[in-house]
Amino acid sequence: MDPNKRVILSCKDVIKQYRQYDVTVTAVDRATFEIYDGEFVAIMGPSGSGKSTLLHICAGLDRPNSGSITVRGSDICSMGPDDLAEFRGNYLGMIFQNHNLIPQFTAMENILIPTLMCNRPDFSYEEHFRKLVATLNIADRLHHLPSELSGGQQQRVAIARALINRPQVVFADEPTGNLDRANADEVMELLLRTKEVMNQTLIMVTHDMKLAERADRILVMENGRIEAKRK
Amino acid sequence: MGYRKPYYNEDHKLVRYGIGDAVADAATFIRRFFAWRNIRHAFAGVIKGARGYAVFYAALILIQSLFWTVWLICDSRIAAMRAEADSGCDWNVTVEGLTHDEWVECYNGSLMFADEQKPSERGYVSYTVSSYYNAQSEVRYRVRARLISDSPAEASKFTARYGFEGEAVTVTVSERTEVYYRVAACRKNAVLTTVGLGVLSAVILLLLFLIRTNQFKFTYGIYMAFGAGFEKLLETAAWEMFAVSVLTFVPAALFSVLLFLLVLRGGGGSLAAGSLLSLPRIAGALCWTLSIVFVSVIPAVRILSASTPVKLLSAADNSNYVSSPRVSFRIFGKSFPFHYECFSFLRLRKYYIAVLSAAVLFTTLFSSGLLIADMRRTEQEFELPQFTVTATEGIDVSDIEVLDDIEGLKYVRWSTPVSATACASHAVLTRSQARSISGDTVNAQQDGMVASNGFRYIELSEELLYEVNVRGAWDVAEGDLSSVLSDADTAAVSLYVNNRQRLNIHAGDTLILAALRAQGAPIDYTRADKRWILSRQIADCYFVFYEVTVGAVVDTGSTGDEFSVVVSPELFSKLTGRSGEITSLELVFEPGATHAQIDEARDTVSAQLGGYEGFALGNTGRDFELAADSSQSPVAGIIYGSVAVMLVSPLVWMFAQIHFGYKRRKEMYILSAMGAADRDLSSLFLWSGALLSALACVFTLVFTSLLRRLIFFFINEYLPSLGFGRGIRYDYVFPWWGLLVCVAVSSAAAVISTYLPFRSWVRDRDLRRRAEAGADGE
Repeated sequence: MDPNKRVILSCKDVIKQYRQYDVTVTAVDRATFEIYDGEFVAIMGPSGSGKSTLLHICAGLDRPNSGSITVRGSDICSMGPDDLAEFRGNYLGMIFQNHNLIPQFTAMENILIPTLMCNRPDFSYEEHFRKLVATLNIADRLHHLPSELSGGQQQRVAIARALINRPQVVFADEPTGNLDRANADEVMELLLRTKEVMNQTLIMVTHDMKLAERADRILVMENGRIEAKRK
Repeated sequence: MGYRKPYYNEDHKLVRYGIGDAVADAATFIRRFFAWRNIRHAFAGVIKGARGYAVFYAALILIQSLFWTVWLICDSRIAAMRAEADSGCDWNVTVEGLTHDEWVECYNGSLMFADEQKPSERGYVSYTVSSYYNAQSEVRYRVRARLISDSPAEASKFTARYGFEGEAVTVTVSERTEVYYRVAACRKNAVLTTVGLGVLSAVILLLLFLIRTNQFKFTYGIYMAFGAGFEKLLETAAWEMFAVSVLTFVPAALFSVLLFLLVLRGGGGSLAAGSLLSLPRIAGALCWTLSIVFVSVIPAVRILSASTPVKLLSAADNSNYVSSPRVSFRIFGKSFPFHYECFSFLRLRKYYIAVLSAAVLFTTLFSSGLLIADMRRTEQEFELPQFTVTATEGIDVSDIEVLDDIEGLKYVRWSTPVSATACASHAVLTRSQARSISGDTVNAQQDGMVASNGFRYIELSEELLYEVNVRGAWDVAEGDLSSVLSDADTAAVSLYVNNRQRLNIHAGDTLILAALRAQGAPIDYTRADKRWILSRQIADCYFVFYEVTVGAVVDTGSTGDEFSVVVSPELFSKLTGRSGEITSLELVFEPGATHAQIDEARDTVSAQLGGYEGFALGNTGRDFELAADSSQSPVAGIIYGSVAVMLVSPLVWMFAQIHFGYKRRKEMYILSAMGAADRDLSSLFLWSGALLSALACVFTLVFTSLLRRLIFFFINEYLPSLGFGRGIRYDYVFPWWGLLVCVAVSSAAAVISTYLPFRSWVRDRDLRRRAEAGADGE
């Protein structure tokens, strides 16, 4: 990695524990790593190893019990809920494993949710939106409800939603987990293309070794710990 | 708003948050909040999605109706009192007791010249002068003036400006001026009621909002994941509620007019129209509603925004309510669907507790409203005096008898109270008789008995007995009061102190009354502790004891913190060492007495009793209260209001349950796929409804009883013990029909709210099946 590149995300001694009845489960155990601007990092590991939890914490969707996470130089753990929400809207994008599209909204409405939430009137969405839906090949499905879309189309809508605000860091939680190989490859291509075009940092949780091999770095998790960092 | 903590900007420079940033943030917030787009979206959302907002439409119609109804009733009372004052007297101030010389001096000094001026300059519109004879048969002059304003300050100015002074000159203001105070009091009550209802309304809306945010956790979770914070969520929710408030404004006003006309027993249409079209009232209603909306929306949104998106997204199926999966697993080996639903009930207990609390709260408020309505009815029926007369010199009974000729007078109430402490007397009671006042008693000289001096003696004369027996001045609960006069060893007792029954005595019981014979060691009577004084008296004084039989148990009206012992004049003299002196009177009028009669009565009483030393005549304004009450039905108003509050209960319940039922669709599909029949699934919903209904009934009964007891104690006993209240004692009633309504409403709401989601599920399933069949056919 180029030493001149700046750190975009820094995670230090992050611990996340859940209390289930009398047992304390440690989902993330002292995770420490750094991710550089424009990097593509894959997080791998067996089910229940804490990958998604770590991703949610890094994306500011959940809070750790201890440790610190710095994104773009700001400690997101010390931010209040409102500041963190605004930070998420402005700089971070999230692609959920199971799409998480709002069923009552059409594809277009789902994609435009982040623009409404961030209230950035100086931002030109229209052109960006058109390019995005053209790139993702969903222009003809914009007025359909999620239930009327295939799994691949739903995932593309979810990707468009994550990218509409031009986030600096994109978090993807098994974005191809529910797709067949052809669709998975297509979605991955799209993600990498938009990453290059928008100069984004991509952090992706995946079980797919073939996809992970395309990453700049792979973080391997086991029992909540980052066991290995490898290419 | 910006980041309040220091942060690094795009150029990696540390940015600190200052006052300028705060001002800029506030300006941004205001600009964003009042963006036309927000308002447009809110209106479009609540109109297009009217079904989803139905409960908010209903709640806001109800909330706004409460405001309008309270103020329409207030306006009508004020109008009735003003009309009564207008019809009753054409003057504001009465100056009485002027001698001829004093009157001439006033007239020649200033009044004569003022007559030439304009009313606005001289301060009065007109005046009349009349002469009358006072108690000493001397000619006196009375001046009555209609002032340019009904304000009390104007009356003071008038008397000062025209020099109405003299040794025996009295100045009284008429009902026209009195009405000023009453209008202010009426408005104050309306404001307090509005504030109380505002708090209640905010609770209702908050509950509905919490239910809504709970049901739409997934959607809110997505919003928050993509940048929505407190401000964004607030502006969406607040504008939506604003839109609903605006859309329901006119229907609510019309609904309240309907309610108002019911309360008014017909009539009042023009008054209602006048109030509804008054701009300040419309502005007040809007402000009130919007305040409630904000007060209720802000905490709900704050709670929501404090949560993390992951928590909201993972709780989309209400699984946060599923507090113990292990409990759910216990269904294995148990019958389906009853046991399944019982465990579901346990599994979802937090949700059910929230729903039950809402239901029970509003049905309890309804039941309490019925109690308050009943208390109001008692107040209306209670015979409060129009005039109170006090004098430092004892009033002669023959003078009181003259008052009987006053037209419209129902009776004169008087008594001759002498405190037992003042005459160093006490009563000896059994412990059983004094059980409720054991804290105020000391051990008596007689074994096993206790002594109390917390009572007063009243002398029963023939005249007083006549007032009681013939004209109903007191209530006789037990026995025959006339036995007190016919039998020297008989007394009557009142049981209540501050509306609380303190003595356990019945007609036929024996009571020992002690009269001081000789004082031993000196006692400090200035001490406030009556028990200490009594214990010293028992230890150091000599008493003569009179054993009397309780001939009657009576209710002598307000007795302060002492009960009464009514005895014959002979016994009164022996016990107190003095004869009974009447120093206070209460004149009670027939409800239909006219103003002219009341006005004339005032003159008669002044003429007849004005000569007594320390004479003072007070007007309680009872005629105004009766006039205001007769113009409408406050009891009916309270009952309608209570019913309206109770209607919130099924509203909240059904809203929550129906949404919750939809959430359980997936569960139903899974159970159906596992082989559960429609019958079983419908049973699930019905069991849920039945269990909920049963619990609601039980909790409603318990909480209703508790709250009613509390309200009753507060109004009937606690306030009188602090010196508030007018000596009215209320009956504690528990209307079975009100409880039946509560139970019926709870049951109906539970059954309907569980049946509707089931029907919806069946419809949804059938549609899917048909769609699948159609697809197969193709």
